[in-house]
Amino acid sequence: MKIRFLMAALLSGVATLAGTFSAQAKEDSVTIGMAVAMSGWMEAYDGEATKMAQLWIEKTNADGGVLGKQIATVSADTKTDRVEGAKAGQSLIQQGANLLLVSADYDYGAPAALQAQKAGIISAFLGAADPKAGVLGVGPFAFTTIAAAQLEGATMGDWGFEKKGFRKGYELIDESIEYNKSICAGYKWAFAAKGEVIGADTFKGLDPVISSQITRMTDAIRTKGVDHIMLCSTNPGAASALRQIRAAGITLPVLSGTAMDGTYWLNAVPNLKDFYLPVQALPAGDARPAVEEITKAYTAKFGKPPTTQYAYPIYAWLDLWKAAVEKAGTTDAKPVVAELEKAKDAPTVLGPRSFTNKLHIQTDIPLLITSFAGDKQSFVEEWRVGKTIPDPVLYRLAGN
Amino acid sequence: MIGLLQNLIDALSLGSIYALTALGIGLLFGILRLINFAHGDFITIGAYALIVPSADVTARMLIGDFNIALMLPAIALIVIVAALLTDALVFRPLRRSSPPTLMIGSFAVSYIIQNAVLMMYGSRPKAINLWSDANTQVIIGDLRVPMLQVITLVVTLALMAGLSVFLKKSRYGVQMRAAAEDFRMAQYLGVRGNFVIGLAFAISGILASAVALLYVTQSGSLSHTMGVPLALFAFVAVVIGGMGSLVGAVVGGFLVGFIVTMLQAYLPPDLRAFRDAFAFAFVILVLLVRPAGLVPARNTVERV
Repeated sequence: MKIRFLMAALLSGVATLAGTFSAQAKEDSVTIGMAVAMSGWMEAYDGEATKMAQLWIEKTNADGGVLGKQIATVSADTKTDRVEGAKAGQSLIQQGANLLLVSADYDYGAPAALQAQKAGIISAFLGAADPKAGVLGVGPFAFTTIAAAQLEGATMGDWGFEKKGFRKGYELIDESIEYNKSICAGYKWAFAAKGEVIGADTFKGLDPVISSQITRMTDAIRTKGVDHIMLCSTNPGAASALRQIRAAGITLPVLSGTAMDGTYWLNAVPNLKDFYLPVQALPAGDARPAVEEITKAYTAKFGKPPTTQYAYPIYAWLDLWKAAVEKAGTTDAKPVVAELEKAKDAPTVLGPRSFTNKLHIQTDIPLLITSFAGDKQSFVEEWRVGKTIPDPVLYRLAGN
Repeated sequence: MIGLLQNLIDALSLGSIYALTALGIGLLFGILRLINFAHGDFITIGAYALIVPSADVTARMLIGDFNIALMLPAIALIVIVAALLTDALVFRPLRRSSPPTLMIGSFAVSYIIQNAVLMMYGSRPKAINLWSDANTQVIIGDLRVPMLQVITLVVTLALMAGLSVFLKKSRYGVQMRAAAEDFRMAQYLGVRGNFVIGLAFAISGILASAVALLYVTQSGSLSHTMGVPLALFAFVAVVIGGMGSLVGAVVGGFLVGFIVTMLQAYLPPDLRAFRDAFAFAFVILVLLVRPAGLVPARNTVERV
């Protein structure tokens, strides 16, 4: 144990030394490292957010940079591999990164973020919906750019009760990843406070058929008057489940989490309607001019608009980071984190953002409800739950 | 009562897709002693063959838009070519290796196919709409019978029967069975070993393409790992059924489908997440009682 501690201390010492070394070498610029998946399946989730970060850097440099210095970027491919992730993080820190952007998932981003934490550098997950991607998991220098999965579920549950008149819900949870369970934990917390969650069932994303789940669901609809379904899943399982639900003649409204954002999967469910999910931005048809402008700039630079909303949150987060750095007058982690933690409903292009010394994730922001019909996803209204998600739900302690 | 009947129908639907996959794995094991974990990836290839190869997020049908009379052979042909290529490039050089070596080889093939799919088609799961007309259902009283399940069941039984007739009656079928019985002896008697094995790979390719089409009609989704759980459960089905026996593979497939569905239907909610663990525990029980499987193949009895 002692030896391991010593080794760890030595290693982090070396890493910090190497960090300061090359940082000194590049004192005329601020360096942002990107330890993200450029290959493997995570690329689908990291790719567009990374491009968006590049867009932000380009624009910021054109406006004079940060602290009067231009921003340089260094990047390394994590290859959708956790070990490679740690290596990528380490090498970027050695190359003098002052801020490290990491993969859009707690499990895949954490190895690189931990390297940053050890080296005393701020890291930002491109899109992890788990509060562990922050103070209580990786450490006090880690942030995530998006909202907790629980807030997605809670927003849908609360909105469904208030605006759609839903009273009796039924959860279908894809057990293959934790994110799905977190969405439904939030939904249950918010909806059960007002209405009633009649039943819940589970499946695994790659199950070839979900007939027995549909049988149970049909039964609950017939005998217990279920009036909507909460589908907590991610693709490919989500589209597959929805296709089978609709094919079984179940036409009830279906609510879901942000992971199903975008229209690329709609082929799987022909003529889909009565399907709703929350987002932070819409690549097409966002009412906010600032978001439209970002989409236009993105399209001009990369040839096509983002596929999903996951491209956007890093833009808002980098704006906050820049403001904090300029206030602190340095990129050093401690003062910048202290500045960031002062954010309370701080305005950004995507709406208000808050950080505290416990939570580096959004747990109370308005989300945009969208609905699907005729192969299109469209904006319905903005909805804010406005209540504090209790810790047992947020950290999914026993029974949640 | 209705509930139980409905669960039985659901079990048949899951069982038939496992049985069809198990048939492909069981066939190759019978002839080659190869536990082909890449069989699931043959299924993936069959599914991805439907669309235009590109990394675009929205999938566009290519072969998937063909007339069904053209599409079935086209998809089958693509998977057959893939299966024959894996034989020629990987398994032929390993012909004299032990079964565990062959199995490791199949893991490597599986890994390569999955990453090739990622490279060609991009990393985001894709969605397609194949034969949504088959996704209807017949309501008999309170019972729900999905058409697609009926089709899957018929296809499985037809392919099993066809394969059995082929193996029993045709010249190549007899050669294949001879090779399965004693490969060296069959070669001495003039059976062209590589040809027979190639044929077995081709047939497993046809079976995989059938699974691919049925599965995609059901789920509408494509991902680079879509075939993996199928191959895993089908392998378990082959083991329960009796390795090397085709009837055993099919029986095992239906049994695994039955166990998984019944566990999903009757386990209390808290335990449902551990459905697969219970299913595999049951498999261990079956094997403790019948170590050679439910329908042991004659030629493997002594080996197990």
